[in-house]
Amino acid sequence: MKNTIGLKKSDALIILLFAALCVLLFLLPLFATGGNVTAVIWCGGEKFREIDLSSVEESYEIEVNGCVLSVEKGKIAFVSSTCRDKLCKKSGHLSKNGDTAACVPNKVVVRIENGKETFDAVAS
Amino acid sequence: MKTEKKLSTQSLRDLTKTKKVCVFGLLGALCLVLSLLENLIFPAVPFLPAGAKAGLSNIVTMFAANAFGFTGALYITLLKSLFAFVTRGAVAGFMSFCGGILSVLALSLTIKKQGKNLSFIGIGVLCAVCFNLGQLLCACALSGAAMLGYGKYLLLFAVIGGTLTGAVLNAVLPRLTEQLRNL
Amino acid sequence: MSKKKKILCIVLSVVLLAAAVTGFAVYYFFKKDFNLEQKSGLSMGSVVTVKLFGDDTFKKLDVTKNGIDNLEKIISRKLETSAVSLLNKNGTVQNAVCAEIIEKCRKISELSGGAFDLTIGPLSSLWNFDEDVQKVPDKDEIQKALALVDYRKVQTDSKSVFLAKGQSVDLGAVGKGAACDAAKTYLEKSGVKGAVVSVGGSILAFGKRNKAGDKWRVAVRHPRKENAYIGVINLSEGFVSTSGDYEKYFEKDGIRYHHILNANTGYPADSGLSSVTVVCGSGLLSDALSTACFILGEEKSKALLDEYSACAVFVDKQLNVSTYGDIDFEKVE
Repeated sequence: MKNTIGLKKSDALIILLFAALCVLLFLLPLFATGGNVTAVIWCGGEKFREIDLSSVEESYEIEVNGCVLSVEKGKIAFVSSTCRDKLCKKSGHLSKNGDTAACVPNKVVVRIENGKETFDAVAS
Repeated sequence: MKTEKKLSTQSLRDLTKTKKVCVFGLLGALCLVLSLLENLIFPAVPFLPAGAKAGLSNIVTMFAANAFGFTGALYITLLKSLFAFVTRGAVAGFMSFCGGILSVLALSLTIKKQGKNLSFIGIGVLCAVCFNLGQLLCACALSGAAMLGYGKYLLLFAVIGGTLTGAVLNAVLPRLTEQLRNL
Repeated sequence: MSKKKKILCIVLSVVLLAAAVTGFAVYYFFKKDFNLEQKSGLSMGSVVTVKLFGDDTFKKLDVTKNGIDNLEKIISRKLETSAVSLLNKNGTVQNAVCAEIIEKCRKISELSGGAFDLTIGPLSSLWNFDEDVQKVPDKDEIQKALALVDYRKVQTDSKSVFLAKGQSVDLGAVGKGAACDAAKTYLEKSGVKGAVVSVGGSILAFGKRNKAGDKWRVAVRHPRKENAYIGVINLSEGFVSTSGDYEKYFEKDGIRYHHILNANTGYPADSGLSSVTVVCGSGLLSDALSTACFILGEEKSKALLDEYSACAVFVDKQLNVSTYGDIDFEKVE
């Protein structure tokens, strides 16, 4: 094998082996369900809101900096946006941990994170 | 092309003692700069899981293993752990040490096979996987098995980072060896 | 070196350089958390938690806690040597801090039409919610105690306080909030970048949470479930206090007798609310206002809140939640 970066047969084998293992590990959680799903909405680099998607009973819509997001039980999606390319809508529904969608022109980022909501303090 | 091939497999073991010390100083400094750089860059990239790195300093470790064998790589790794210990605290130092030792073992087992079929890319990936595995095990020991969920990200970054560092080393090793010999 | 390799080296360098530049650019735009140190202790008869955010928080924790302890020495009714104890015993005391707190309470007592009253001491001693054995006092006893409760008879000047005969002051409704104020004074001097202080459920959110200046998240306790939250308040800085019928209470003949007494009736306040949370720029005020609003009920509270430009979250007995004023509140379903 002759190429510019000097990749050889065994190299390719090693990469393939670990890449396959990696894909397997990433696919595994798809078969598991349950647990809290929290959508974190960022706006211009600042955390705008955290929504616990597991506990949403009725779906509703929220507006963030020109983007409209629909919040349903267990999932969230971009519905419309004032931006030109509308790439964000292509992401569809986000529901699994790590799912991310962004409207770059409006600086809105939505990301799904697993786990409990966190507070700095509890007033009681 | 032919002379380069020859140089790339040539070690630096026959250098004079003074030159060796000099080369080690340079390699050590390079390694620290690279690890400092990646500790600045990668935690700042959004959406990357914490701890995801390309392992740029592995370039130096692999070079040292090739040039001076097992002990050379071990010196560099220990220096790196010490640096992490001093700048980022005991936990970071310990994790760097665990990862480093495992990757040096992997290096010493594979570095001599380098040649016709295996280049630094394969070694780099193996080395990075071992490094991250060591860190992961260490993290599990410190904060519970929940950290294992992190494994897939670390593996992904080891494969990408290892390929990258290996490719870089493939490209620079002949020239770097030549330069260091002519110090 | 072949031409191809040369190009590759250049491309790689450019890519690495671009990655570094992007990394640094992103580094400035996205948040990086400060270090966090926290410590809990007992003061003001309740748990005090101090969380400090910053790059050098070492030793400043103790300073904050000491500040709260110092205030306890002035306003606690349980310490015999405190200024408030001396005031209740002798009818007068010279203490500037005490006088300032009492003056502020007097003003709120006035604005709430006496429903909230700092001179509720005789009545709270009678009900005594701190005792293990709890009973509903006799009507006559309550009337007798009620006669002594009157904020208008309290006189203050810049450094001393005078009470009428038989009166006693109870600062239980404002003590924890005032402790948050004291903590803030210490934090301002200490150079800490950000901090959350909780004195028995009264919260101070101070400074910045991280470099990006994310808002602080303060959860509001669920009035009927322990360790559950009715919602979360996002605020950039300020004080949060909650008063609710769940803190100290006993039940008798199906009626819940809780510790927030209406100074006009002498009985636990019954305004249809189960908790009120007030956000405001002063700890003492947020604490006093949450108690006053709890007694007054949602409708009558609004004028009082406006007076101090405070905002509030009301939870009624059916657990309906409503907010008043400019407040960023997320309900937890």
